[in-house]
Amino acid sequence: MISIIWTNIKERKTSVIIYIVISVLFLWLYVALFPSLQAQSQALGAVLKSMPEGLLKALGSAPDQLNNFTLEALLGSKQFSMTFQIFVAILTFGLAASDLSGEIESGTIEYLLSQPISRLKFYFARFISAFILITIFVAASTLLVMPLATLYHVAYVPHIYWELFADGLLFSTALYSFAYFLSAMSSAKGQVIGISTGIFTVMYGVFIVSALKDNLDKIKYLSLFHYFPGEILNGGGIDKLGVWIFIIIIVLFTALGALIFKKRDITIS
Amino acid sequence: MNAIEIKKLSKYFLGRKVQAVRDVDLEIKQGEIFGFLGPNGAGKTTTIRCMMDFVRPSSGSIKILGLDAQKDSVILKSKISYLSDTAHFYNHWTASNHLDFQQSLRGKSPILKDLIKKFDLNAKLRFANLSSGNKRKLSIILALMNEPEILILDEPTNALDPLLQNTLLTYLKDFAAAGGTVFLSSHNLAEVEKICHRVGIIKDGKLVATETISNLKQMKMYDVSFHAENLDVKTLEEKNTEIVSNLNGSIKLKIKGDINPTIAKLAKIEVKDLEIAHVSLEDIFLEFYKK
Repeated sequence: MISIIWTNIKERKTSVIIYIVISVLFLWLYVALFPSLQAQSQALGAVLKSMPEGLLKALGSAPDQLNNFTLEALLGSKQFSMTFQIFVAILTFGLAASDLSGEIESGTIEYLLSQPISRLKFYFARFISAFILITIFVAASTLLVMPLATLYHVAYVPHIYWELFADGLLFSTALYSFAYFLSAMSSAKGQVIGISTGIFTVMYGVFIVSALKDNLDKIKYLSLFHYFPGEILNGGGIDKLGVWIFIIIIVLFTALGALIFKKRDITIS
Repeated sequence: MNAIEIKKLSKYFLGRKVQAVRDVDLEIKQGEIFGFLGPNGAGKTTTIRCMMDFVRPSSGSIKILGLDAQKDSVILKSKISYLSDTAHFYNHWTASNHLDFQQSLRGKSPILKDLIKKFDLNAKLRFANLSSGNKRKLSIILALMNEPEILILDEPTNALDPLLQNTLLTYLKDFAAAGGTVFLSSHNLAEVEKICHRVGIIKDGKLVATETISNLKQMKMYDVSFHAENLDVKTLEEKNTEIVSNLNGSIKLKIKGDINPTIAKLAKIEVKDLEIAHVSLEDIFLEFYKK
């Protein structure tokens, strides 16, 4: 099992490193720009106040955001309103699709399953390897803010980044678990990525609509974007309901995927 | 002792709409080389995939070395090696990466160096850069390197040059002589004839015959052609003789089984250009498919 985990980590490391580098470069950019942006915050605050409240809410901002312009407020409106979520989606959907359906599509699954390892062990070995890679990505994309901020002498609140890391990891693992469940059912990588991306886009749409239309406010609970990052960057802590929802998604879809993968016929062309 | 026992194996896909194999019964003894013959789509690969637990039988059972192919699949896979009909491996891995990965799962192979030498494999090249013959060599080495008790091989000599085909066939003979069991699916009837003790012929998902090679040879057929003037061909009719054509005295016969009664009749008349061709295992195989 350890061999499968380690081999898969080595196999996927290049793409994960690329995502980490891009994500960290974005963070670096925001942290580096923060001192000059803070200086211009009053003028920017006037611009924000002129924008529709619903739109600002959808973008993770607020009209009075610049009254107390902090690094967390900047990252909340930029990196963690959408950019991070898109990186996570691309990374997790790609990993999940490659881990099972990609092996079936390329025919290499026969080589793997002809080895003395049970399907369940193989399934969980791939899950663990992806979880390790996702953890590294999320850690780099959240916790590295602290040394970067120190480098640029920018004030930051450490516990916010630890909360962001924990909640971001749950959010990312939930996305992976759902896509991995699809991957356990499908023999086509493209199908897994297509369906996962479609649902991800619909959830973002639901989140935007719920923010723009007051009478549709309740539908925000149907979108994972509501729970991450939530109020973490405003100092409000992790959304407990969101944590439970992420955990339920992870457990439910991982278990369902395991059951399906254990029982299904695996045929290659 | 039976190394492989398949009882009433059936497999349907899409509910029961597509029948891949139906009521297949097979018993293969330890130390036997068994050839599994059939055209594309006959059910050979599905049977093999059921044996390897890649697909689950709709009904019936498969026991290998006395163990259930599905419930005990992990133990069995440490005793079985499988060679797929097409080499599906990781394009960006070298041959050596594949060999190392397998050793990390199945333990160090004491015969790996010998196999690499015997099959003349360049293990440093990436899989994508290997020729089709070298890809096949890698598949074969991966199948043989952990000294299994049973080899399940799907078209093993595909893409191998005649020299390496011979090397592999000799290896398989030695493997069986040492007590190993080989289940070999093939289109190459010459190789089946050369090394298999018994063959099973599958047609439309059903096993239509299981015979020893020597029995199959006894079923051999002959194509007889000659020229004879003013001959009433009806005098040549026998139970096992088919008159294929009769054009201006040029007569063609197909004889299944004993040819002597026909020879005796021909000896009594004046014939020219007599030719008797011994049909191959392939003709016998095709004969099964006419039924």
